[in-house]
Amino acid sequence: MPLLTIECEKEQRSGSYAASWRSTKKKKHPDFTWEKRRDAQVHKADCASWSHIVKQQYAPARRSLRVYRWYRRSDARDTVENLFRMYVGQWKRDTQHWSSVTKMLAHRSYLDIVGLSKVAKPKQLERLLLEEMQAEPDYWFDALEVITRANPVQDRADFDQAVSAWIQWGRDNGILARENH
Amino acid sequence: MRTISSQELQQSFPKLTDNNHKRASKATARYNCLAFACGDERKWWEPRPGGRFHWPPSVRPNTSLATVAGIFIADGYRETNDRDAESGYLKVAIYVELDDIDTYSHVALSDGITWKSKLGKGQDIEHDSLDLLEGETSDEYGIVAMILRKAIQ
Repeated sequence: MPLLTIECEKEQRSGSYAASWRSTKKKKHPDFTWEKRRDAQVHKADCASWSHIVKQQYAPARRSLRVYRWYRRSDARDTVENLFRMYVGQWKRDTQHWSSVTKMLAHRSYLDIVGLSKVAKPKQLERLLLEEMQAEPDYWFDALEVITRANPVQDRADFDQAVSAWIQWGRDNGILARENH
Repeated sequence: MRTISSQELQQSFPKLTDNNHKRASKATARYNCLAFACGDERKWWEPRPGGRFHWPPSVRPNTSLATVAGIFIADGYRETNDRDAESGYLKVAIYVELDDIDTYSHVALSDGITWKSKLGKGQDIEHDSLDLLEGETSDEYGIVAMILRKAIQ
């Protein structure tokens, strides 16, 4: 980082920064232990200012890294959600007139949705699926079972009961908001 | 399920027009065409585990043309060649896709007046003839492989 080094050298040359920092430090944070050991004062001040200068030198890089990490995190979240919406749309379009659930579950987009669990944040895919189930009940039971490794649906439950069981499971596990009565 | 508009439906089944079909219900994923033809609007007829599915206990667990036809034959239906709705008869038409002629793709039901179909997870429709859902483009169901009928009692 040549620019940072130049900045740092400028400050070292002027010597003003270390001096101002020392005075500020004394005013704001009196170090009583140090006050007792005045003979070591010079060395400690030099070390402190050097440490501070080094930290300052890396500050922009650390800031950039923080921004980059934040960007990557939000990017990943958006990507999962966008991919989810795309696969759901594709799956619905392709399978809406099919008579076989077995065939629907083997559709590429359905498998892609389940595959998103590898990259989604914890509970993100569950939330998306349960919200989708709430909005437009469909055969998301198998995907939810695979992703959550749970099965809140009783063996004899019909379609509507299965939908309700999963929505309730989502509420009980803090994935969906509870109903306000 | 979202009930799709007539325009969207015509994209899936290009032979349907506003004049030859009408919507008969809202879309639902509760039951499929086979359940609808058997008079069940609560369960999806398919040999899968779970209470939301139903499959007649005495029938082999597959969805081949022969097996599905067997369900109706056991209910008193007999094979016919007449493709029109026939007064005094219930009829079912079993469709297969040309790339998988052993497996049924759709079942349409006639109540003696018109043909009725439950379109997968979509809505029920009434349609003038069987050929409106025949074809190989978009969501069309292939060809009618078998028609069965029984007298209305």
